[in-house]
Amino acid sequence: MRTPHLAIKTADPESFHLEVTVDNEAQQTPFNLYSDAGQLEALVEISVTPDTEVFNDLCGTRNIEYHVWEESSKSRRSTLHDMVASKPGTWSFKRKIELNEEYGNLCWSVVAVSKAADPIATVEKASGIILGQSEDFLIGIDSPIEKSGNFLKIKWRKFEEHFPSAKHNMFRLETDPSLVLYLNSSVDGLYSLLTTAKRGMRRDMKKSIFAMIKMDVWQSLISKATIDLSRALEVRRSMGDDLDLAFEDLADWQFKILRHWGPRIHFGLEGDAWRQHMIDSVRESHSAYLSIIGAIVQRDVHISSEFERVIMNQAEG
Amino acid sequence: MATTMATQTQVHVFEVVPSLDVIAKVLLMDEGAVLDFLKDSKRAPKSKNHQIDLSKFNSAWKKLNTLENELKPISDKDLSVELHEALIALPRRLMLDPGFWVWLSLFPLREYVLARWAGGNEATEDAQFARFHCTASVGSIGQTNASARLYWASEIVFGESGSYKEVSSVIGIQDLHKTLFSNKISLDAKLLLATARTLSTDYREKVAREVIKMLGVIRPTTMFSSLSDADLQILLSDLKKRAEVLFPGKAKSVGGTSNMPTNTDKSKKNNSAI
Amino acid sequence: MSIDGLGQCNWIFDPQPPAGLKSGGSILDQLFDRDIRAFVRETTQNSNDQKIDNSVARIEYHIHTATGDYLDQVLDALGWIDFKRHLDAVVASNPKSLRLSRYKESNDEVIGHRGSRGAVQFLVVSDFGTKGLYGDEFGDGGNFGPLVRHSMMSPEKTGARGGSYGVGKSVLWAFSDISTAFFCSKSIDDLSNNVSTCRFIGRTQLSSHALANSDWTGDGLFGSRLSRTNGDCAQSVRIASTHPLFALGLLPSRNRNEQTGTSIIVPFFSPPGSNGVEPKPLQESIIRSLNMWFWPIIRSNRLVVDVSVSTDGNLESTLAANGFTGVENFVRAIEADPAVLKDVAAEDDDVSSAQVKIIIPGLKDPKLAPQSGEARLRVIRENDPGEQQSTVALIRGAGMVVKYLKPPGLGSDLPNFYAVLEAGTRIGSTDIDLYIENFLRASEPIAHDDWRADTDRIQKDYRQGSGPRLDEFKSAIGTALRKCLQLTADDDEDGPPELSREFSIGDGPETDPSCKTVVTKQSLDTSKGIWTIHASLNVKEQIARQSWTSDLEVMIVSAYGVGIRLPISNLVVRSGKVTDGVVDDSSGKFRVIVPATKKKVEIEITASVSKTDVDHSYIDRTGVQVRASLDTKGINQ
Repeated sequence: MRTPHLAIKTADPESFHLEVTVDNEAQQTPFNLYSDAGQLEALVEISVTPDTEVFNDLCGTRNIEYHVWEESSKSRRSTLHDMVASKPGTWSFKRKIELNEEYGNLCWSVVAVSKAADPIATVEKASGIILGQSEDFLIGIDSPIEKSGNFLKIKWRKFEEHFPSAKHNMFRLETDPSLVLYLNSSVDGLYSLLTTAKRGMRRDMKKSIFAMIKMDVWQSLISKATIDLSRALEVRRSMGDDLDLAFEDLADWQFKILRHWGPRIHFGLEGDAWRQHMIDSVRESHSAYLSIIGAIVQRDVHISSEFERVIMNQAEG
Repeated sequence: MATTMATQTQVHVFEVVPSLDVIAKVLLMDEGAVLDFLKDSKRAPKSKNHQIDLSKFNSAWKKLNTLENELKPISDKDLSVELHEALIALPRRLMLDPGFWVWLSLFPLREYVLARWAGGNEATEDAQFARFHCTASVGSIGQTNASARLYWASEIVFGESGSYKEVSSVIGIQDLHKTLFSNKISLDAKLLLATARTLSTDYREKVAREVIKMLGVIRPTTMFSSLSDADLQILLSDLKKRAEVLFPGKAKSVGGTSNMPTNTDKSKKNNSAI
Repeated sequence: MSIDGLGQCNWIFDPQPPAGLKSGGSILDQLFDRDIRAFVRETTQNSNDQKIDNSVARIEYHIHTATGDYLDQVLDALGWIDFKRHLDAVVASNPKSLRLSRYKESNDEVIGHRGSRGAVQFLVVSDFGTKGLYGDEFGDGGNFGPLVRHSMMSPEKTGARGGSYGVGKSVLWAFSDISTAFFCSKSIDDLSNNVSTCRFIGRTQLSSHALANSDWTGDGLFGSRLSRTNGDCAQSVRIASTHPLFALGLLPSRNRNEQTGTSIIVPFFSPPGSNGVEPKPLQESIIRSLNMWFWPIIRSNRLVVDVSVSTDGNLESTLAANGFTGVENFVRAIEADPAVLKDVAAEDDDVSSAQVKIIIPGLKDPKLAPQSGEARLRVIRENDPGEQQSTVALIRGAGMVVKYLKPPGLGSDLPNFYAVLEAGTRIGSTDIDLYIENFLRASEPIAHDDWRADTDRIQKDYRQGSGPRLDEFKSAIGTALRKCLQLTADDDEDGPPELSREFSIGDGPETDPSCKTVVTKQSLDTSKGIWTIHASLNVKEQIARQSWTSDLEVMIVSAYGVGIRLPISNLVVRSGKVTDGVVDDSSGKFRVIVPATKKKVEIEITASVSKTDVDHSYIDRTGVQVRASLDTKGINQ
């Protein structure tokens, strides 16, 4: 949910003076707790020392409570934890996170909430009103392979042995069961050029080949993702669901690709507005949509300038 | 891999969740082809160090199956509890893994899924294949995958209250379950239970959608879980009352009523008039 | 032959022949590259070919700068007065025929008059431990005649041409501004006859000219006068160690027994087309050329070469060619321990080796069938730039580099390398090695800088097919190179990380919005259910180059759904300029049209809750967002 502009005044996140320690060591967040690091659990401790003046001003005659709010879609949590006053002016909370309990990322923040008699009074007087929220921080449970990019595995294979019908192709993209781009090591010179070219003409040639591969692969991936999106839209439509939910039915890599390219294709839109435009376009004419995408990918990959460089350098000798 | 009728089943997980196409193909495969599929190191689900007993669940759903061999939605509330009990010893992380749910639906519980969502016949449409499919999204685990939706309905209730008493209010009405579990309300156990409890009484779809819509728009300023149970109930009842004014009408019989008493309505002090 | 002190030597030119044919200089001058490499290659090779059996040849290049009195004495010893008369006559009758125009223009500043001359450079190339110049004055035997007197005559019938004072000698005259060279030699015959003096003669190749009422050819010799049946000519003289040229240090002493060999003085030394080269750069240039072309034989200690610089007989510096500097990578390739050779040079510093097949056409006489043998290739992979990078040094038994070859069809996919191909007697002494050696030697043109099929020897001695065989051989070198260098991937080896990074996508939306909205203030009148929002619309400069349009909408944000659009009832411009603004009643959006050059517009929006179905009791608990989308029609993306 994008942070809205509220009708009521709330405290700035800095007013909380948030501190986080994990296993008794102060941490810079986001903090990563990957299972493949061998660590099975971690003790997370959070404390805040709020600016009393700021919060007193906001709560009026009400009381204030401080809570840690822990949220994670993949770990299916949206839990409010009580904080205790560990010393005057400071509230604390700790929780032992166990890796076999969680999945994905956990997003934590501290909220200051009003406490009063009436939950449905006006917002200045009601109970349960958020008076302020600290900055949030992430604790990563699973190693974010896709987070740093490189979501596409690229491997070399001798196509004449493994893909005989495609032995003259330069590359081959597989999406099932997983996403792998195979490069054909049977193509004479391709491996050494793409692996060792660092300067001059050889580097230019390598970059133009990369651009060509990028263009084709992106188009294939977007095409596959939008085909599956189209399918998911039909499923959701037949179930009477909100069509936007179709994005959730996509494989992780598909969703990320559409999220990467959606704003580029539906240029100039704010936030997630591209999703509705994509839904409309896919439902209207998938083939026309793909041809628009092709032109945008070509532009984005700068393929013409890569080849131009090779041509001009070749001409110069 | 053990068959569905044996007492103990070795748990498996798809490390890469198969696409709808692959799911459709697997559903049509004969036994030999299935065995080949399971030997494919890239595609087949991987064995995990856990065993589960699905015999009780299987007996339960077969008992609930009508003569026409078609499971009705009303079976969900009882089967949700059965499945939760069968899987309760498994690590929570596994229950969050879409690869586990796809395996469970596609192999040990295939008959159940087909009985519940394909009228006991072969699955032929994407909408039916989707019940075997799963992603890590809120809605996919919460309400789309046939097995996960059962489990998580009970897990939310049991985790929050320690009993299965209110499972029927959460999953007893299919439309309500879908509305609640297709968005992030389903992550907040306290809010979910309270909302389900409130809306399952005299359930009306439009009223339910309106209440959930209002919950969504006031969420930026209101921390529902910080309210006491009583205060939360007051808020929800007020929202429901206002929704009923917007959408007057009578509740249809949808089966599965809540055992919880209704809450006393309190009027919101209204100092503004539009 | 007499022993000369000063005065007994004269410059004697041949008279014009009865046919009256004139010459503007030696055509052989034109057959060589006109830089120092050609000079060094030719002179060093010649000296190397004159080695006595398998001994070590020593060569000295000595750059002498002569000035003042010293110069006067040197020129006196070389018969300058005599020579100059002919030189002036040549310049007068044909000033462009020699590279003398600069002297004429500078009023003989360099040549000048005794006591008032500028500096003159002499390059003296001396070899030691070699055969020296032997043979009759006028006969064909030995090497004296072919070098000094004759043209296009090789001393050896079996084809020592090119490498043994055949055509190649013409570099000596080509690199003298006055087309003149002097020869001083102690031969192996002198040694065995216990002769302590050296044989000395000079030769010039000027243009035809007229002097003292007679016409002369350009060919002249400096020596003692000899009358023969068809006229007078000069013959070589014997000079002792007391001769001024030894005393002045221009010629090295040859008093010891092992000091047989030849010294060649090239006066007024200057690469053709240049205005001379300073001594130090010339020294370095000679060293570079020596290392570049002779490193194999220098490294095998069969040749030692020094380059010295002196001024007026005073030694200033001596550098030795080490056969390494500038060619390190070739040396590393060839000297790598066989134990560390790899099948493929996969990384920098790896050395790989391969055999390259060569087929030699049959001989005509004696008749011999085609033969096939192998040459040896060594390759080092090395990315650091250097001289002759990515070439193959071709070497045969002579031990010099014939050429740095870029094999045909190499492809641009290979990494950078340095390679050495050894053939013929360089790698063995079997019959086939000898056969290959002879073939390759025969295929070398005058400059010995290639292996080609169109040489005289190839045409004369070998049957048809030399051209295709040599082409195949060079291609085979390229194929072997690719095999040594070309990396091959293991199956399922990771692809290039660089390509993988091209597919990087993050965890959230990354695009910088083209139209950014910044809300600076918002307030809600709960009594009327009206939001008032102050915001600014900001676009990038390239967007603002022309008029742009933005559709605005105000949304109530929902945590559990898509949000609710609030219809915008009014929009007021607070700063900036708007051409037009239109409310779309059906969607509640507000379209603003902004003129070109305006990147920012500040607006106040009024949006009403009353037209939505949001329960007004709770509107003070809601929050809003302003979204702006850019109308991309007409915008050049």
